[in-house]
Amino acid sequence: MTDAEIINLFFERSEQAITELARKHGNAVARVARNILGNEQDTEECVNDTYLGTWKAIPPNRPSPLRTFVCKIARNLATMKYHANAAEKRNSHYDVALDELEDCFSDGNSVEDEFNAKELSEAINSFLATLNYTDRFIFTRRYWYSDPLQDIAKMANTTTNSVTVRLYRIREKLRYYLVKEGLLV
Amino acid sequence: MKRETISMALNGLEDTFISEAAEFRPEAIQETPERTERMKTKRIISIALAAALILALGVTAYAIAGMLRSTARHNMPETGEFTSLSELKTVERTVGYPLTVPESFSNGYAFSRLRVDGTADYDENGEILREYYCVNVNYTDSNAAEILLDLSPVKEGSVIQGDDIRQIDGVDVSFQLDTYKYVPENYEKTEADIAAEEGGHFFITYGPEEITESKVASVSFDLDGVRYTLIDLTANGNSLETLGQMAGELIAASHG
Repeated sequence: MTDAEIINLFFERSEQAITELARKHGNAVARVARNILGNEQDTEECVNDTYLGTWKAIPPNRPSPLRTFVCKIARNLATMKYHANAAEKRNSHYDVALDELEDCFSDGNSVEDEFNAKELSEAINSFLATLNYTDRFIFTRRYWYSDPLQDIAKMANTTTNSVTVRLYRIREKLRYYLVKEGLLV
Repeated sequence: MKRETISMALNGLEDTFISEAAEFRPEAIQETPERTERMKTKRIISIALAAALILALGVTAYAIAGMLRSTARHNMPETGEFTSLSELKTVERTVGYPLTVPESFSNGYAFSRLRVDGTADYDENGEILREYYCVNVNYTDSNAAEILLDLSPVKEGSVIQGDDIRQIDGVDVSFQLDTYKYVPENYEKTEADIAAEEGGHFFITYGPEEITESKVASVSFDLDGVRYTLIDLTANGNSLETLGQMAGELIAASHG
């Protein structure tokens, strides 16, 4: 079934829409949630909440591509749950990815705590537009999809070590970019 | 920085980046100076219309082609959106170049809004080659059809190029009509696609589930060190003539 046909089912308020959405994009949604939450029970809850969120959002939205749309919902829900349970000990891929970025943004220098997330988001988007495709792919897979290094290496037909080195250089570039833009001190 | 802030910021990544990373497809992305222009224009269009189009103007040649890696939005003071032209003089002082931005054109397109954005060109190492302001203006007609006018300073060594250049009032104007084919991420190019791409006016954009095509018309010309580009994202048979007439009015207004 095409995305357009699935979206039409949502518009018709047919519950078959959820079934077809799960069949086509369920694995991608679960992967995003699992990488952040790190356990199956939370992942399953998050996936179900994602389908409910999609049900509420379509209509009026008619997203394209649909997979990006539902993965974004899943990520938003998973990160909310992740931070709500911050005290809980976790061991997810997301922990490690966030640690890397936190180190990059701190790195011994003082940084404004009340940093505006929207401003940072715009800066990261602008920064990503300056990268070549492969670097952008690696950054997005690591820090948006929260994929482990080995998986990214496999996807990009390279070695884990190469991905690690490239990510380090990308983070250095990002830090330099944010300093130049006056967003980091 | 708080982890929550980093986490929230990552949630705001652009759909384009998320979609293109769904699958590793380096062959679908060609990093060329022309593409950087397209990316820049695409960002302008995305902001203006939230349309997932890649627009190739194909009219720019760079003497510095080997150096320029990319163009991106850049934090600069006094950027923002205006819903009237009453502040145009202030905007001119901010951007540092003259702006010919009429209230309306004789074909009925009237000013809707104007946006000033900071922009920077980067080299291979992420160093800024130059920073400048871009001005994006939206015009709409009584049927809510929209035409975009993009203004930016002409880059050193950049000249108007194209296979359809006409003179209007002594000014070289490049006319371009391009076809955009939107295809699913796993789409394999056909021989016809490859042949059409070689013609320079056919572009494939990956992402949507269904295959569709649309035409984009644009005209570009330089006036007083400023590049003007008029764009119709939903082109029809008359679009180039419409844009040409509007270009003529802009050129006449700047001469007047």
